[in-house]
Parts: sequence; C-alpha cells; structure tokens
Amino acid sequence: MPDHPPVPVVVAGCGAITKFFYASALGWLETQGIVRVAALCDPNEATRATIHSRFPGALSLARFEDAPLAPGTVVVVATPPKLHAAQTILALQRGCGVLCEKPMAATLADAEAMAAEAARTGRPLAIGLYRRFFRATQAIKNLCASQTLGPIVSFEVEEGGPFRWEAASDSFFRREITPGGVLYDTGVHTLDLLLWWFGEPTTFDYRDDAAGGLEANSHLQLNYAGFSGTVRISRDWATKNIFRINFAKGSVSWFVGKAGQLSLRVEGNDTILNSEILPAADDGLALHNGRGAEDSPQAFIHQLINIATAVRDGTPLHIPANEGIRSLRLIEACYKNRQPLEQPWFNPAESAGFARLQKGAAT
Amino acid sequence: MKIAIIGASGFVGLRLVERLHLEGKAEIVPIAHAYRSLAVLARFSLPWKVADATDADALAEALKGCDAVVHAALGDASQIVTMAKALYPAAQKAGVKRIVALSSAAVHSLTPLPGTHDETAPLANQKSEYNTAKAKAELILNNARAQGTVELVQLRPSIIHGPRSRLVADIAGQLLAGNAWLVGDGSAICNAIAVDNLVDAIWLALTTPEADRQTFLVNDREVVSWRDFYTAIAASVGTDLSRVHAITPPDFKDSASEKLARLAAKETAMALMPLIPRRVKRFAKAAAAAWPEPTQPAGWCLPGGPTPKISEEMCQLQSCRWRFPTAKAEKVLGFAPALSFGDAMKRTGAWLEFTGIARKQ
Repeated sequence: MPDHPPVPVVVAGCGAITKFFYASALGWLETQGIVRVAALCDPNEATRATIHSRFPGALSLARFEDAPLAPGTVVVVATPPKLHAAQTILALQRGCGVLCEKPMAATLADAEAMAAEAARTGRPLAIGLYRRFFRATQAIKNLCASQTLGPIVSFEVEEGGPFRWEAASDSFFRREITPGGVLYDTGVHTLDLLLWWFGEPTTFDYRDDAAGGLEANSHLQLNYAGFSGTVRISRDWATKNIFRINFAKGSVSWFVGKAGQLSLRVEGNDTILNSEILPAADDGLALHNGRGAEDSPQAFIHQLINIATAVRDGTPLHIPANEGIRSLRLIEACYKNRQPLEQPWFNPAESAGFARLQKGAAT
Repeated sequence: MKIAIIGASGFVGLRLVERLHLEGKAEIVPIAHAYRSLAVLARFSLPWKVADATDADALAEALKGCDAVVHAALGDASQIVTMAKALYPAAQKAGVKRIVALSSAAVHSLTPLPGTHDETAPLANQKSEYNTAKAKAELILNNARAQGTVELVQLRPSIIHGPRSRLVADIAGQLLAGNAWLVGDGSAICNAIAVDNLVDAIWLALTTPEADRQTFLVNDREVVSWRDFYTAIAASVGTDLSRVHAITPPDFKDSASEKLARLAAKETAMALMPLIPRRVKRFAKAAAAAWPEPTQPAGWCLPGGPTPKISEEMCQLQSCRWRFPTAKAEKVLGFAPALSFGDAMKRTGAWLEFTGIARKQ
C-alpha cells in the first residue's frame, strides 16, 4: 500500500466507456489504495446505478456540478464530447486534475479553451489517448526516433470494423449533435499515434463517404519529408486493423489492440519475428516464468496512475492537453478539406448524387 | 414516393438505400432494429427510424406517412415468421399502399428439383428450419393480402452477390488462404443475382401495378456455374482456381441437433441466402472470431496445408442442376437484368479492393 491517502476520483459519465473500462481499472486501483472513487455523476439513474453498485461508498449524483470538486481530486470526464469542455474547465477552475476521454472536445476551439484553462490554472489535464501507454506503440516510437531500422520509407494503416458499440440513442450518428463520424471517433486514436511517431505532415489528402451525414469510411494520405503513407478507417467493413511501417532496413507491423506485441521483419531475412515486448531489464524472465507482456487493461491502469500521481506530486503527464489536441487539429483540417471518396461500385447516377450531397453538406 | 425499408442496414437494404437515395428516385425512410445499425446509414441525412420488426404497433408507427415498404430484414426462423405476421397489419394500420417482401428461392430447397418451372412449383419438403420459415412467411403474407387492402409483391432471389456480400468476402478470403473448395468440377448451377439487379427488381415490384398478389423468382440473365462464380471472385483478388480443392460431398449423417449446430457454426451460412437467422449469425460470428487464430503444429508431424471447411448447405447449393426460371418476372415486371454477371463482378472486385480484402498484407 502507498504511504499516502488514496487520491479521490470523480467520474463524470457512467456510460459504456466507464462500464467497460474505467470501472474495472478504478476498482483495481482502489484495492491498491491508489485512488478512492468519491462520486459518480450521470443524469441517467439506471446507468449510474450500474456503476454505483461497484463503488457503493461513492456519491451517486445526477448533476456533475454537485460533485465534490476539491483541489487534489482527479476528475474523469467520460461524457459525450460536447460536454467535455464545460466539465473540464469547471473541474480545472476548482483545482482538480482532469483525465478527459477522447475525442478531447467537440471542436478544436473547445479543446484550445480547455488547454488554455489548464495552462492558466496550472492543473494537470490529461487526454485519454491511452494507446500511447502500450509498450508496442512506445517501441515503434523508439524505432522511428532511433532509426535502428533506417529511415522511414512508407506506412499503411487500416483500422476499424462494423460498429458494435451498444448505442443507447441515435445521437452518436446525428451530425447536428456529433461533429464527425469514424475519423472523429476511431481516427482520433489512429492519428494520435501517427502524429506522435512522425510529427505533423507537410501535406495531406482526405476523402470520405459522408453525403449529408457522418462518414463511415475515411481515406487519408499523409505526406512527410521523405516518405508518405495511407490511412483507411472504416465502421462499414472489417479491416485488417494493422499499422505497418516500412523502414529502409525492415518493417514493423502492429495489430490494433495488441498492446504488448509487434511483428518485425528485418531486410534480408525471409522470416518475421513475432515478439512480445518486455522491459529490457526483465531479460525475458517474465516470459520464462509464464507471464506475458502487459496488455490494454494495464495501459488503462497506467493512464489513471499517471493522472493520479500528477495531481498528487506534480509528476509530468504522459499525454497532456497540448499533445491530445494534435489529432483533433488534424481531424478538423481533414473535414475542412474533405473530398468525395470514390466508391467504385456506384453507377454514374449514384456518383453524381453522392458528390452533390457531399458538396451540399459542406456549404 | 416515400418508401420505408425494413432491414436498411443489411446487405440488400443498405444497397437499396444507396441506390434510391443517391439516384433521387424516392424519399427513403430507413428502419433499423438497433441504434448501432445506423452507423453506415448515417452517411446520409435521412429520417431513419429504429423499430422492432416483430412488433406490429412499433412497426406501424415507423411506417406512418410512407407509400410503400420493402421488407429486407434478417431474422432467425422464429423471427422470420413473427416479422411476417407483424408486417401486414402494421402496413395496413399505417396506410401503406404496397409491400414488397424479400423471400428466398430457398423455399424451393437448396437443390430444387428439375421441373421447378415457375413460382407455382410445390415448395419442397424442407429439412431446414430457415427454408421452412421462409415458406411460412410467404403464406402468412399471402393470406393477409387476401383479407386486406395493402398490395403485396414477394421476390425470391437466391445467391445475391455484390458490394458488401459476406459470401463473396468469405470466398475471396478462402481463395487467398488456399482453403477454397468446389464440389466436383464446379459445373453445378449457381443461381446468382447481382444486388444491383435485385434492386432493379425491387423497384419494378414497387411500381408495377400488375405485380400485386404475385411472387417472382429473380436471377441474373446469364446461366452461371459455381466455377464461373469462383473464377470471377478469384480474378478480383488476383488469384486463380489452381489451389481450389475439388471435393466430393461427404456423407452428412449427423443427428438433427448436430446438423443445426454445424449449420449455426458456419460463417458461410449467413452469407448464402438473402435472409439468414440472427441466431445462426451469432454462432457464426463466434466461430469466425476463433477462425483466424494460427494453429500450432502438433507434435511429431509437419504442419499441413490449408484445409477446406466443408459445409452441408454449401455442398447442396453446389449440387444444384436447375436454374430458377425468371420468365414471370420478365413478363409481368418487365425485369431485364441491366447488369451482366461480368460487369457486376467487376463492381464487386472494385469493392473488394476498396475494403482491402483484395490487398495482401
């Protein structure tokens, strides 16, 4: 047990992300004495009750504004994106640290206001782009920086699949309520990693299939000095869910969700090394002793520990607001420069109708 | 014309929405069974509804203000029957003028007997719960029509192919993996219909006055063998049939429950026919989730090559020697498939490329 009292946590939003991710991670952290869930906030009583049954000692509140937002508290903002800015800014102003779920905000302007408030108050604001806590994505970051396999030549990304999330209403699919489709929802993770690894692209070409509504397929080409790559994101059809980066002396493939695994091919070899990623200090003993690499749940826990320690003793955030905002900035730029995605099974009348509807929605 | 489409997020329903909406032919009201099913439909700004198609009152509410309804929803055997029972009274209550219901050529069995000259051929003695349910659903709707005022047209497609076809995607995956198979030399008849030709047939069924109270078999214009079907898909993904296993159907002697379990476990089952039970789909998804996992070679042997997974229902389909006639659809509806099999497969190939299925990684 740590030698300090557990950090109080207020959870704003008891929907699916809290039910399937935060509740389990916070539950374990409570058993370790690292955090204490102080309040659960959600206007939907039934949703709130489900989570409250796991944290009976917490306050159960319909309104976030009624939560005990005191300095030294961590607020987990897991509400719909349009609420992120107001709730985050309120929590920061009350002296809390905030872990805000992705996408950081409904608009870039909101995200910038959140980041500005974090800077003004000096309180930590972390963004829930938790894939950066994966050992696999960290290993890729190191390979890109160290050029162990030489400079980057190209990359290809395919991510997504048929939408399976249990939506409680159609608000997620309404353009007047939700600012984007699959690029905004899934792509915020995808683009965050690419921006983290490679930096901002010099130019890009973005196309999607929105025709008056929210896109289900996004195709993006990102161009950098010396290399370029393609990104295909879909909630329409099962993709391979793969990131592949080709270096001059080999390639690395990472399958989405495999937090502790990478496939490595070194130029000149006709085999692929399928690896589990362990700390070098471990010397492989963990595997020898039957323990595998850490996976997504551990990354989620690390993310919560990071914000809790930042609130307690000022430990630097792994994904502060100015990092979290980058993917949102690129997404908004993509939408502003959107072009029609060719859907090659359309007949000429459909293609014309599609172009007209997409253009009409932009004006 | 304002048209409601039940099952608008499915393979046929979604293509129907795309075509009619983008071509500006009609006002569309997509009806889905769950909010999550709106994910792809939401590309368009449409007045969608979420309703349980087995609940006549809920359905009637969703159909209000529509001139016609196309029923293209999936379901298990029980749901197929229940949806048919709910559909007609719902349409009647909502003041809909015409129903176009997608049935299936499976009502004649997967291996129709020679002599199935037209839609009046007796429905085969079905072992399949699904096929029986489709036949029952047709009967329920026909009986309701006899007593009601809402016009009714039923279509019986068979092997529907095109963009978003799970059957095509599965075969493409098998061809690339080396575990595709054909019964014998693949010369049996594949009663194929391109989804775009089916959409045309649906439009004719919606708009042809004389079609009321009629049922129509619909096919592509060419007679296509299963070998032709596989060859076209193989070409789309840059391979050929050289690695396709020629098999002789094994003797399927399972008990009824074993047969059902085996059917439920097959990913192909849900792709074969226009309407596949949801329960089968759930089982199949579970099986499919496990399928791509690499297997370790067993001790004291070398790993073998890809092994075909043979299903009884696909064996039956690939043993079909009878082409379903479309003379009635041609005569009454003026149905003349606009898209040739070759052109349809080119569109499907472009979709396979679009999705990444045709690209090796």
